[in-house]
Amino acid sequence: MSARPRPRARLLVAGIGLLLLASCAPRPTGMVPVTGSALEARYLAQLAARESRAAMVTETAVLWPRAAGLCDTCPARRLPGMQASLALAWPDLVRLRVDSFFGTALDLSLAGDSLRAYAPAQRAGVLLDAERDSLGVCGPGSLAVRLLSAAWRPPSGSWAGAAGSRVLRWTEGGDSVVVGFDDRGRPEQVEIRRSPGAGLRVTYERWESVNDVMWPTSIRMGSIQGEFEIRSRMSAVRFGARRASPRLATRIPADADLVGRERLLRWLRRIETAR
Amino acid sequence: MTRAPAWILAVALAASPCARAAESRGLVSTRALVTRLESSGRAEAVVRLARRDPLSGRTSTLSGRLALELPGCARLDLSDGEAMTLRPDGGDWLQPATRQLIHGGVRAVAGLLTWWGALLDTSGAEFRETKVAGSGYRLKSRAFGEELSQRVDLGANGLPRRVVAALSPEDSLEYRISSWRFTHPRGRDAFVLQAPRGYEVVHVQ
Repeated sequence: MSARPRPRARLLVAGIGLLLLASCAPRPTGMVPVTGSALEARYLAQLAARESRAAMVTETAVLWPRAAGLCDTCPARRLPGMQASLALAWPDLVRLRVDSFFGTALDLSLAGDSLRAYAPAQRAGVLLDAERDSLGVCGPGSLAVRLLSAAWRPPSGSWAGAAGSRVLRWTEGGDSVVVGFDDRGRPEQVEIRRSPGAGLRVTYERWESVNDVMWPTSIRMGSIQGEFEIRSRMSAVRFGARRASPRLATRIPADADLVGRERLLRWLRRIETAR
Repeated sequence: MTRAPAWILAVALAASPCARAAESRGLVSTRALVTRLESSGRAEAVVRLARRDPLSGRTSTLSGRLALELPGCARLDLSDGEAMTLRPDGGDWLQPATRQLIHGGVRAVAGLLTWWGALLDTSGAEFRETKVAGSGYRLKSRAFGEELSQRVDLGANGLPRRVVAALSPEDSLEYRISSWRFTHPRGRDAFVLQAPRGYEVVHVQ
């Protein structure tokens, strides 16, 4: 026969339990707006962590592209979603392979100013240089790495100019850049404009802690005017040591049909006309 | 829609009425399968896929079920819910990752078949089949270069038991096929995928 705990003992046990529960429960915290130097310190600390780990990052991406409707009042067009393997290496190497167990649709890599792409089904390859071929984007490799790792580098003076605000503005190589931060010093939205009405908008919709590094795992990007948009969700993010650059370069078979800038532009015009 | 495994299409096309006339000169590597498929109407098999991602270096594996029917219908259902079908009038691709069902029209699939046509040429005019060690055959396209090839190994029953398809210069897929079973055809409807609730349907012409 076991002795039943006395009322006072039960009260003590309950009290200890409550204390334990209370000690584990999240405490209410005052939401103090973080701006200025505190925001700068938070952002730069996280940025340093991302940059140091972005020596080599591999992740799995699911992409949902959308194109503008065929008329002004038409809904956005649904396009096939894609699964992709993605690798990026600081400061300017990116490789994206759109593939699945049913095959590889596109293998694309950016390295500094160069763009290489290969579509096995079409047996078509693209090999372009941003400067020589006037792609209209300076350093696409660097831009892609910064975009995917949210590694934007505001000039130091821009923090002082944003006193009391969480929005920074600066110019960079003829582009105007606007970055909005959240309370925790993470970029929320980025706009890069080259001319009025033309530019890119990037929204970081979700962040996750990967090996103690805050990493963007859901990114929405598209043209400011809304001609296109790609929503992406990343998973299986892994940081590693930098591998040899050739691994991050798309291999185009020697006998592939090489598509030059002019032909590529003709294709794009055809797509635009089809809209 | 991305392209389908070459060997599925090879079998499907080889089994199509247009290709039957050339059967006697066709591929040795698919001859037994095509013959049994023609006599029964439907072939089913268990497949085990393995693929190495050249970026991460990781190899992923998946199991699935394959179904083939005349004329030119193929269906592959994977254990993760992904599925693909091909028919003479188009094809479907169910993607759980994107929660989309993609219906490909005749043009979309025609593009696939045009591309794979060289690999699927059962007459041998555009396709080279060579015997390799053991019970294997290497299939290479005359028109689309040496890098795209596939190796087919036959089992004791003459049916494919392992296929390694080169997808790109760095990428290949391995299929291990077992438990071949031949039965009555179910018809076109068995090769039309339906979108589960909440899935987006995308049409590609």
